Amino acid sequence: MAIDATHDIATIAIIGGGTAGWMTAAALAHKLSGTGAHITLVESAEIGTVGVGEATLPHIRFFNQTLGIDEPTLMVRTSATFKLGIEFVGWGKPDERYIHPFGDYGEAIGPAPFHHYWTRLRQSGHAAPLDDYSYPVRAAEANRFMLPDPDPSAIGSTFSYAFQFDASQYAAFLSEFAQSRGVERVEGKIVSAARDGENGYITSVTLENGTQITAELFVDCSGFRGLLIEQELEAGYDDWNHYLPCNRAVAVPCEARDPIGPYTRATARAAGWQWRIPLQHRIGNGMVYCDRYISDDKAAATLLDNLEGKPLADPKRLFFKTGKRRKLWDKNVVAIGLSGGFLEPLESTSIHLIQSGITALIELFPDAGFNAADVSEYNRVMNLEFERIRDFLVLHYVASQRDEPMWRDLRVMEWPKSLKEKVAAFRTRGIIPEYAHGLFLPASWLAVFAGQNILPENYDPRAGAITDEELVARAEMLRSKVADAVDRTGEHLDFIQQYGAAISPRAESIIA
Amino acid sequence: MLSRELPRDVALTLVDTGTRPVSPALTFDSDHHLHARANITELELIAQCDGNLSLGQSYWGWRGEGSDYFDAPSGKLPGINGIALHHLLLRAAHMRGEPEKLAELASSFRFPALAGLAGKLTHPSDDPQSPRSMLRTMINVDTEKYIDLLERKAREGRTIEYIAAKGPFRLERDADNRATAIIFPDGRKLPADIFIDMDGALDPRAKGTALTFDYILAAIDSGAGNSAFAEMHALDDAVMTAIPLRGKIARILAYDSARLSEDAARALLPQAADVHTQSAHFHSEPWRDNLVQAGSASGTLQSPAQGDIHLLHGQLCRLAELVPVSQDMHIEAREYNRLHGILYQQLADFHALAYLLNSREGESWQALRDTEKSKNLQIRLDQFQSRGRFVTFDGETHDEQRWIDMMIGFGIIPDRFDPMARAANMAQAGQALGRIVDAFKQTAAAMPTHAEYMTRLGALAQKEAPVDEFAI
Repeated sequence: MAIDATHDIATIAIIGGGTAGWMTAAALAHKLSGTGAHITLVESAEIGTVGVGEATLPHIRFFNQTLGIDEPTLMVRTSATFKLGIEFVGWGKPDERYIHPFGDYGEAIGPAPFHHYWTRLRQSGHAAPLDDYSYPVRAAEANRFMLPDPDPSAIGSTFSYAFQFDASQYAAFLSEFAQSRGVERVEGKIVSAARDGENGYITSVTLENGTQITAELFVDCSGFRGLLIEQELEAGYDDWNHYLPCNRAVAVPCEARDPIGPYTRATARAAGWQWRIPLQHRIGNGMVYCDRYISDDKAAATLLDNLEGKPLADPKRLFFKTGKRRKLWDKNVVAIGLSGGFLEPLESTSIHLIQSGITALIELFPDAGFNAADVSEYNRVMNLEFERIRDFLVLHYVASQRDEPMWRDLRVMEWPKSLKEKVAAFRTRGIIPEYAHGLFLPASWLAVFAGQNILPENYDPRAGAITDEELVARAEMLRSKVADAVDRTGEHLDFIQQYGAAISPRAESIIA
Repeated sequence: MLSRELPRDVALTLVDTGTRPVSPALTFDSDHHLHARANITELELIAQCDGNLSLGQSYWGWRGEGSDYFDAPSGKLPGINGIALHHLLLRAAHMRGEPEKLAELASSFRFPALAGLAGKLTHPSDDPQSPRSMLRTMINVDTEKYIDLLERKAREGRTIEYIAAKGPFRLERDADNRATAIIFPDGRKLPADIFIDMDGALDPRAKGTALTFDYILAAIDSGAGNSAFAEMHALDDAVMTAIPLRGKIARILAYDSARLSEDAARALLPQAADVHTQSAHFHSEPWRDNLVQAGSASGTLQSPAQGDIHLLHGQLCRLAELVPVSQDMHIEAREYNRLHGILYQQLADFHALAYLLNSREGESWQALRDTEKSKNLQIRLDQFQSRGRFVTFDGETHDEQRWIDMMIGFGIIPDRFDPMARAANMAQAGQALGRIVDAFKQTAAAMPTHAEYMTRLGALAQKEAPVDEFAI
């Protein structure tokens, strides 16, 4: 009987805490509850965590729901705010801005997608800005928030939401969650790993104090170092620096002065871009840049010069190489988080990639036989995820009209073929290919295309089947519906309070 | 599709070459969105195409003489406490020491199949709590009458120039190799901006891949038989498909000409007229320049009554979405070709499944088992065999549960089940599962019979009343 050919994994070691480590521990503890599997997480207080990835995507809600985590409680514990999208400032032309919303534009007018009707209106001079047809964009701009309307016919149902939270607090919260479900936390620094002489599998890791931790499955959440996946197994790395050359970041929190809006901001700078992530008690800031175009000191100075409030800590520097491990799962080691790869957090994908890795690991959770088909499937699924996100990130750079050297160089670089085809399809005919396994849906592509001035030259002929008058009237009705719905929506911070998600006492004073 | 959705200033000409599908009946989802877009209702399909609804179809004898498997679309079923049903059932089968009985165990939970096999019929319920929400209706139609209905609909509110002509045709091309006109055998020319080739008349088809069942006989008779659903009977060296229409049955015999003579085949279906050959082929680039190929010109599948019409419906929806906006149509062509590749692959994989997983004796059936699998299908089968996991790819055409049911029904027993199923309280789960089975039985018992439901739908169809006025 095949089921008896091998046994279930009984021991799992997660190497590294931080967001990736504790998300993995919490999810596995939940998933494997009652199976008798023992999970150990090794982390060292001496080794800091990167702690980036404070902005999330709506998928994080499903992760939390699966674990049974109460949303307001989580928000209180992580100082979270709501997030309806990302504002991009200066990415098209330096004086322009747009929001990439977690939601749709418009609604069905006829057989063609809405943006074809909008293109027709635009060409005839009757179109309002595309954003006027998006509830989440206009609500975000007005610093308003409500939960999506459960009535699918309501304009207020056309969006999803995510959180902006303190990643370190999220890790701490999940640490409690995981430990309360049996995960054993071991403090210590790993100094060596032992391997099976026959198959090369990792059999144990040894800590500085001599403690040896054995396991059948190792999840490497050790960050950029890739303690097991790279330093031991040498899984290899696909370097995507030629597509996404930014290779450094500097981060610093500051006091909040401007409104705490339900959106993250990414502001393009001469040699990179700056993030602003508003939490309840502070603003997370950082600058991602390419060291070929700006020095570390100048990047830090640019960041500090552009903070809205007093810095709350010293700037923290990060060095990274954009890309991914050639094998995210090799032998009995699965790399999740920064040990698996890194894509700059322009579209808040860092935590999402952790979540994807965990989801795929759970779906393909091995037994002690480590079926090669499962390993290969995990790598196929994750490669696809990384590559499709990569294309979407590259789009922001190559579609820019900025004139500084970095931006000029990026425009003339060799684009990924898949991206080149997507841009041509949209520009020529407004086609946005849809993929079952693409993280970003057509509305996201539309937001960036239109936001950075890549506009369709032609619209679907089916959008020409209704009269001008009818089209103008339908579009105006839609625009009014969006505006009315936004008017009826309360303030973001008021909603946090009503939702029971406000931190105290400090956040309450900010909210007040 | 084009008649209804294109602006009025676009002129359409249809050149009818007289080519018709080999299959005298076609089966497809009764709510396919192509029909809504073409303003064709289900009642019209019933009234005007001898349409007959069903909840699925039977594969008889594919797992050996006397075996029967009922294939029914059912949407994606919810799990119990996040655990997919088939994992719980696999664990239960292991607890009993009878993992080989997984398919038998699972059959109690296949509500659409239970209802279909019991000869019951109704439309899906909108109430997600009702077992009836799992139902998906398919419709069998008379091919000739379906074509007539499509033609009438195409002419509604638009003048379509209609030319009946037999080939061979030629294409006149300009210096850039773009087609400028069809040249008829008598020298007449039909100029156009874009040409849509449905049967390969304008561009020779790629050589097909030989199929094991390479010949087809087909006929319609008014004989008796099961009227509630189509049956695909596996025979030695052949498959006989019986598709019940309203008041008649279409029969299609696909056979292995290397092992079954035409005379022997005709003895199985004496009322058949012509014998046809069938092969599977696939064009990777059915849209080149301004010549678009669809339907049998772009690819054929092993299942002429279902696969090919599904391919055609899907392609036409995509074509309508990609009608070009200028003479330079390479962008539309690239997207159409990409989508065509995905669609064909999905359909080919699903329709190959029963052939690949058959367990009949005989050389023909062994050859079918040995057929090379696509990479995607290999991944799906490996993953399901290894751990009961269903892998999805871009452009899924069939619902997940249908695939899972089919793999289990055709004998795949996953090597492992979800670790959460191991931790599940099976006593509690057993009670929950028992309640589900009871609810299924009660709901199926309360459903009208196929004959009752079709009679009432037939009466409605005569009055051309909307189908949602009909309530059980």
